[in-house]
Amino acid sequence: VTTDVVVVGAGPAGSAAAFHLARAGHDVLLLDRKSFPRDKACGDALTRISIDLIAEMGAADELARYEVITGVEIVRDQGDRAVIPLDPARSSGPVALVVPRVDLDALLVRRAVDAGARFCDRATATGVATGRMGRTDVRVSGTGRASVVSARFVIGADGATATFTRQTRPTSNGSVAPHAFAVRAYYAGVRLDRHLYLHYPVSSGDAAAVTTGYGWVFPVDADVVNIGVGMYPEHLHGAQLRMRDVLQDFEDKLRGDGRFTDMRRVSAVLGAPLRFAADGPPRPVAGVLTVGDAAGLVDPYTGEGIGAALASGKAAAGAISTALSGDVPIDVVPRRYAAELSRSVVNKSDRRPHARHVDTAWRIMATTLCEPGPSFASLRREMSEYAVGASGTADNGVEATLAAIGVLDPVQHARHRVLGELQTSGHLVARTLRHLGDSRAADLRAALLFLSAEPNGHDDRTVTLAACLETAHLATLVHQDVLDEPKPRPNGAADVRSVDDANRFLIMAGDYLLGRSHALSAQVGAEESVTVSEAIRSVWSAAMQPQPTWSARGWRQVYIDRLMKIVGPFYVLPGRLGAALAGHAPAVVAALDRFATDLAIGIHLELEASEFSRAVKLSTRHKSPYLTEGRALTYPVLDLMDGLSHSALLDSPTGCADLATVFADPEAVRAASLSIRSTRQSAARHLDAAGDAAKTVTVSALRDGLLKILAAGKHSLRR
Amino acid sequence: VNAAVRDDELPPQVAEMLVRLERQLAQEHLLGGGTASAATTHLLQGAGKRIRPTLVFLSSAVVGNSIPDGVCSAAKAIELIHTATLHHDDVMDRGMSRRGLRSVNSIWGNRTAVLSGDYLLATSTATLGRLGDDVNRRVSAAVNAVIEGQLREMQSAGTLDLSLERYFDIITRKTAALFELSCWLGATLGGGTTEQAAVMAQFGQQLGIAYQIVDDVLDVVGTSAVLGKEPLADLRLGVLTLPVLLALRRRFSGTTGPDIRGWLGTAELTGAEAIVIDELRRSGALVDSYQCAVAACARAGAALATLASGTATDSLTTIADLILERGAPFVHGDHGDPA
Repeated sequence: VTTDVVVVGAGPAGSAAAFHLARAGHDVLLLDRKSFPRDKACGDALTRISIDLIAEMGAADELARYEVITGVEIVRDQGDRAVIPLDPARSSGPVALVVPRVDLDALLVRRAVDAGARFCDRATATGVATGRMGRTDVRVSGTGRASVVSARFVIGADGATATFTRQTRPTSNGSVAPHAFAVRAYYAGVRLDRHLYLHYPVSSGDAAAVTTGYGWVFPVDADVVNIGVGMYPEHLHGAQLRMRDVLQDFEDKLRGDGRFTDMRRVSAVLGAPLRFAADGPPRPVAGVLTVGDAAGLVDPYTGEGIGAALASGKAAAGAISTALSGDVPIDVVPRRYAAELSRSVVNKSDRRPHARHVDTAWRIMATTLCEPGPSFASLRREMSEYAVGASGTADNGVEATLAAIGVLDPVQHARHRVLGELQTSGHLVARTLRHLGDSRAADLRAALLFLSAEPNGHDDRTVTLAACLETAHLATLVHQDVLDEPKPRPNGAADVRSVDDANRFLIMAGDYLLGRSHALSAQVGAEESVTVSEAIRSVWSAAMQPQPTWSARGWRQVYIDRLMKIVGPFYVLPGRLGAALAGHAPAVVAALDRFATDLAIGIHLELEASEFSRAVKLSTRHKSPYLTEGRALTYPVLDLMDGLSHSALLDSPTGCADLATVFADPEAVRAASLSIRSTRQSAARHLDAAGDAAKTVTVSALRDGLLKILAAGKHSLRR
Repeated sequence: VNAAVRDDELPPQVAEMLVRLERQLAQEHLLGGGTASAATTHLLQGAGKRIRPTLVFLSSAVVGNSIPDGVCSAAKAIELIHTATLHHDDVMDRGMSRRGLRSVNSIWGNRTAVLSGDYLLATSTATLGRLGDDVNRRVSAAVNAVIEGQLREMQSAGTLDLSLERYFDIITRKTAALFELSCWLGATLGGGTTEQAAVMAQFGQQLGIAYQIVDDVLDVVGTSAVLGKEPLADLRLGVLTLPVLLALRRRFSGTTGPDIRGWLGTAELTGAEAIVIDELRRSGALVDSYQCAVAACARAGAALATLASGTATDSLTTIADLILERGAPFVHGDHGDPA
């Protein structure tokens, strides 16, 4: 048999590769050793990335039959929990779905076949060898007979066990790369919200040994759920047997919850390894690429692998297709594939972390479920979105304006510099702080620097300064999140949460960012280091002052003054440093100062209003008492508390405000919308004042640019 | 003056500078009142050894008789950087006392302790940045080294097969970098040549390495009175100190003895202290660690010997001796307090 490409394994990665190759007009043979359709151990959750890639394969309609998942619920052992809403309004189409693998894999194979691929199930690839004329021969044993398929390229997509792929990536000592293990079964008689439930920690029955990993409960349909546990088998030798015990213990624990009383298992317990790295480097068997789990592309933090599998299949198909079409020589295919993989699937720094780092991230998240601080929100988002590979570089709504005033290039450079600094710190910091701060506001601050620095706006020095300021700003966010010791709970029960892990992480991460920020300023000059140090010093000083409470007299002015001291410098400094580089006159610098100060307050009040508005909407929609959103004591929240003359938003037995209960009262919702409006009015006054300040700038290009930044801010933040 | 070394063992101008520094630190009212000010200046009032500022002054005295103003502000800034790290360390390790006082976190809470440490750091980098581009870059490199060292230490915590190379890389950053910076700053701002500053930097680095190793040794055999904290604190946190590292290597290379691996990172040793300490002593890991500190001090001394000797170099040698003396009685079985 002769073909262009043999794909070994018909999971999501193999089917995606076969689909894209066939659609590009190539001859593809897709093999799988199992008889299709077949079941497979998996949590069955599809992420945004997976859904998009499946839709690209023309299967959006089939996915539309599944009910949308509306949130991720993280449940801590002691009963604390948090709901992270997956808000479909924020994107086109569903953010998460649960599709059983028996259906999903069959569906994807059908898409590949419809596109023109040949599919053979019950066909096992048993060996690979270099064939004639630069081709590769794959030995295949089917039902009773063996044959050799001669192909120009071979794609190893045979999953975590990778029996075939291993022949192409042998290790010298037979050692196996670090991996975790998961087991799951289906259960009927359980009715839950459309949430993905993540339970942490999960302990194995004996010795109360807490293991690294989490338990999941994912709703499949009306009353069927997929329940499983996945963990690093560091304490679990003889993984599969013991893992079944862990699943049993998890099941027993769930039965304590009324919703699980009638639960009954309706499937076999299936297990599978989760591989975060391939066992060894690829042996140079010409024309063999490895995709999906066989390539070790599972995300070590969440265990998610389907998104990376689909993306890698598509990337491999793309690389091979260009070679088959004669556009590039065959020997560059592996490099092209590797480059695309690291761009689209996952950052290199994410590979092969120590299991302990993964556990640290989970432990920090589980102990800070109710904490509204931006660092914790970023961590929750990272761990719940399963959005592997989603970088912080997507258009956030201000790019058109930045392009119009000619600063998009340096703004993007600065963004990459900051991401680069985060990544060199190690994957834990890079992963958990990826969503820290508002990227639109960050871009506007950077734009202010580049604009003020014209004609030096595109210099490397200016880009370095922008990265320096943003890194410092992130550090101030991180260190302000440091937690004091928890207060004893009202019922006298000891609070078992320990803030140690979170604090150690925040201190190290913030120190790291401060160090990098100083190094960046030092690259530019000592004068800049002094200016930035002095400014940050004033931020720390203000951050130590207590936050005003709603009952204090004149809290509004105190709040705004504090905001001005804490975030103001990160708007004022770009103007000042930029003006110094450009040599602007003192009057221009003074106008820039006024512009920046009012812009800072306007933007942040607007952001607070938007966030609280979203929190109120989510509270009324999700009706869950476990939403963390809206718990920060921001301006609109204080205004609401002032208006209602009580602190119901703060006081609750768990220490977490239950906004769903507060907003079950339509009166409270009305009051909240008044508070949001009043915050927006205040924001608008400051933004108008910023506009007035901009108009006094005598340099016309700068004046026009500032007004456009202002307009972009008003427009993008309202969305 | 509660310095690392007695006043009469210091050149008079250095002793005078230290008195002045002490007065400045005592009068430090950085923020003009309130909780923030109290938290920020609290540890400066404590009985610190001021070893880093002493190194700054002495390194200046090595290269010139009179000590310029820049050296004074650098010495103070270095002490503030060091104090900033103490603010952060005490939150991370739940330290309750420091320099004979209650820790900042135990009085004002974790958040204020961290932010006031940040304030001290920013104050220092602003001061040092005013001393020129060379100083600023050197300060930046040292501050980043300290932070990077701590980050690497945290990332390697519990890594039982940590290489000695990695260990020395970590302590060279987290501890020695600031010693090195202190000596370099003193020599540079004191008017020394680039060569003199490089020699002093080398001296400071080796001294810092010795200092950290002795600290590691004391973590095993020191008493709470000497340490200002509970013994085996690093072991409980899973931080690999040199004695533990050497003992583990022995064990892996065939020597038998109780397996101390299980106690790494264990908060509650529940009476196992004696077994762990005994094993570290019996295996020879303690003595060998101490010898590493002795060797580092010898390297420091060799660097110093290339410069003209005088009262300042004598004092620096005394400091090196004092660092070793701090650990000696414990290593050699005499449990008396070296003070």
